[in-house]
Amino acid sequence: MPESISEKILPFIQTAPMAAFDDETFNRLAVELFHHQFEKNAVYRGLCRQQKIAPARVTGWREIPAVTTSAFKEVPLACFPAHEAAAVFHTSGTTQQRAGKHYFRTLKYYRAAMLRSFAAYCLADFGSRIADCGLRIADKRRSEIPNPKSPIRMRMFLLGPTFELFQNSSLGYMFSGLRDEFGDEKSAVFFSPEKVNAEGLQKALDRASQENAPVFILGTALALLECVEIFQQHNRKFQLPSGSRILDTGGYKGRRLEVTREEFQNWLSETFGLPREYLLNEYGMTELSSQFYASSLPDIPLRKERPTGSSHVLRFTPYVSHFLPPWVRVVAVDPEHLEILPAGELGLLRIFDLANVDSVMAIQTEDLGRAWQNRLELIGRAAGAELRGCSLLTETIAHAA
Amino acid sequence: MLRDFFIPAAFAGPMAQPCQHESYAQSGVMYESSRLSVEWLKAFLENFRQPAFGFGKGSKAWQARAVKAWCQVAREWQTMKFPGAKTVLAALAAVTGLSPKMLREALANHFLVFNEEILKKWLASVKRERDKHAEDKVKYPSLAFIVTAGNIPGVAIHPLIHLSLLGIPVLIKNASSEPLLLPVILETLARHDPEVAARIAALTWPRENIDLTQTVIQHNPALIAFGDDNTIEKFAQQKKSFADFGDRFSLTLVNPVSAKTKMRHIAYDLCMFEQMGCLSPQAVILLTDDWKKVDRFCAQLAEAMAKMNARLPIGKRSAAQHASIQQWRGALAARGAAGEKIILLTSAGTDWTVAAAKNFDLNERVACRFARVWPVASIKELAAIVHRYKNKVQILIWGNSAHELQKFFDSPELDETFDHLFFSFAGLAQTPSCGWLDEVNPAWRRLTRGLRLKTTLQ
Repeated sequence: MPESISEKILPFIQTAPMAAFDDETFNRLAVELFHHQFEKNAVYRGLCRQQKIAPARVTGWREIPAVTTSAFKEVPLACFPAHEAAAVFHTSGTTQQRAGKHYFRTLKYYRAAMLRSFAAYCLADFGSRIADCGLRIADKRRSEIPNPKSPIRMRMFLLGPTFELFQNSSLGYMFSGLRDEFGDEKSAVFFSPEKVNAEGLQKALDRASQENAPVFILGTALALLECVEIFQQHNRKFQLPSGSRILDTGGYKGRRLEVTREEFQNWLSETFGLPREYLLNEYGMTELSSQFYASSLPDIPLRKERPTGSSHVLRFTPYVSHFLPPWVRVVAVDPEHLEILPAGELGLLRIFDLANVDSVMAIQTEDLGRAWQNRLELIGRAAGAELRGCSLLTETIAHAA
Repeated sequence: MLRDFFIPAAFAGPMAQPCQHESYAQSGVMYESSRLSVEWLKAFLENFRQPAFGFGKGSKAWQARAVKAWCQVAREWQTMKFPGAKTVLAALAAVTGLSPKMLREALANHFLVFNEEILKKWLASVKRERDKHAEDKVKYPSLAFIVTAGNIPGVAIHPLIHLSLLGIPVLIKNASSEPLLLPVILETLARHDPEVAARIAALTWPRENIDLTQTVIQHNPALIAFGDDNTIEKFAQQKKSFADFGDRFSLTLVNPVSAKTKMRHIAYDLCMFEQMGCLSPQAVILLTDDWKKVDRFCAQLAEAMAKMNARLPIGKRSAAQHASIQQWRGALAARGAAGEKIILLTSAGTDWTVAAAKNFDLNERVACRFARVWPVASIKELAAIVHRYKNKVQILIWGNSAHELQKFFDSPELDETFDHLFFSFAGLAQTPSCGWLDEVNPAWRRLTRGLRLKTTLQ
């Protein structure tokens, strides 16, 4: 019996070399997945037909029709009956905006993608430093950790939603999943529907410092900002143990205040006593199953290289690079005509995510950026577009409180 | 270099030159700006505020010269024949993103309704109403404070002229995103009558500079605020009574049986100001549930939009605006793919869109010539829509003839939902009459009549 596309994609996510971008395999899987989604996802099939695109004519991943993120607000985009979904993740939204919904038949692809990218870009340096950091190896769970060479446990502090409290939040699933997989027994959550618990975080950080246990703070940008502001008001600074790090997720353009990434990183660095390379950022969205990391940690699979090619690519840009995993491709498209632009040109990001097995793999975002084969630069969601994303979730909660 | 402020020459000496001048660039336009301090603003306001003329002593002479001066300004701005007009137009196009042709037309529209006869009639009607409500009469304020919004150039022109005719000293806080237009208009006014211009000042400071805003508020001015709901709410918390021009939109109403001749006008309303103002329709409501008629209407409207786009080209859009248009289209395409009856007609790029569906969420606003056509089976269904957005609907724009509007008003199905709505005709919505603000905003009406003010938010 021939192997189904979903059976082929999972091992690809789990085993494809993180630094090699095998275009042939990606293309084969992407086209096959497109055929599968065209056949099984009636709404997507309708969208393709509107554009007069037939599967037989699609031979390369770039030709696969993309669905706008806004479509997720309107209709279920799934290759299975929506009521059979194992999980439904909702986009953040204000009271004026309807939430988009991403239906999952299974979370195994999401989980595999999540763990592999996170381990590669947020924990890459730990393999050789476990002894120095005093980390405990959780042998009994080695088999569950995607990279058995780095079976690490860190003290994880969450400043964002958890799956227990926010069952429809993809970020909640991610934070909880990462804590369960990589967190030690003293990991804790300092975020609730009512508030960000800065006092609790402070005590936990003090304890970790006394025990010289490196910590990993994962939070939305707004929740982190709130804590930093509280700590600044009390003139409180930390010198976190070596190896500690912070991952922020979500944009910096919130309704509450706007800070540049530079300012934000300076504040984090000064408040927590961390070098800049230990400040990580994640870019993801509910409509995807994969996340992309900006990381300068030692031993990460990819490094930002000075790109070669056309002159505009060589131009200095202050924007941070997010690395792509090998099961994802990103292009920028011309905002007016949605035509694919050459690598490195500024446009709206269109993302092809093989881990979106049971929905739609090609997503047209409203995010502005540049894309290359292995990375993207997020310029941002330009002013005027609606606020969405993880930072908004924090704010929505803060407003509800 | 253009100025982002206007301080009347009457405040000669140190008052006219508030503090250090500086220059800055915004959207490619160089501005000369005044770095304001709280101390200067306090001193300025003490000198600037003075008893209004209203209809008291000296008011006749004042009104005569104010009418004359504003009519001279109106004539120059209708034809864009004043010194430096080309430079101003180019700068405004750069700042607002609107095309020069659109700007020219929009500015002409602003001033179209101002001639001597109309302004005098307006003053007479104001006086009549003031006298009629003698029990509510109060003194006209010695200071008015207009906080403008930047998305629609010239949004504050009508209230400014009305306040000026009444001789009320007006301080305008320009929108940081469009600080250009009002100072230039006031320069024109000062050229024609410095004394009339002496009762108006326009300054620019960012909304974050709360100290300056507070300084003005502490002088207890009559407050006229334009802006989004958040801005209005913030002012409402600080000031018990004021006239707010918050977030509103309009709806076009069409009986498709005979709308063909009006199609150009319907398209005009959708294109003016790139659909961003309160007078711009967020939806075209079709009084039919016959989809053949809807199809035909959409095809005709698409044709009209394409023609209008050639006459009044769409301006420069940001990547975010393009992205939003693509997302709106994508959402509708998905609804269509899921089996809902949807019509989606578009230009090759993002210049214009005509989309029909049986339901829209009008809280999600569109712009940039995005026509949402919403067929309704009955007036009852229409009333339900109007009722749902009753706090947001500014005007109903009638897309057919006056005769058919009368038939509509005579309809037995019409209920009280429509009682307080302001109607306009397609093609005229963006050139409203001199007194339209009085019709749509009770707080403003009371303010100009010198009657005790109640906030519209209460």
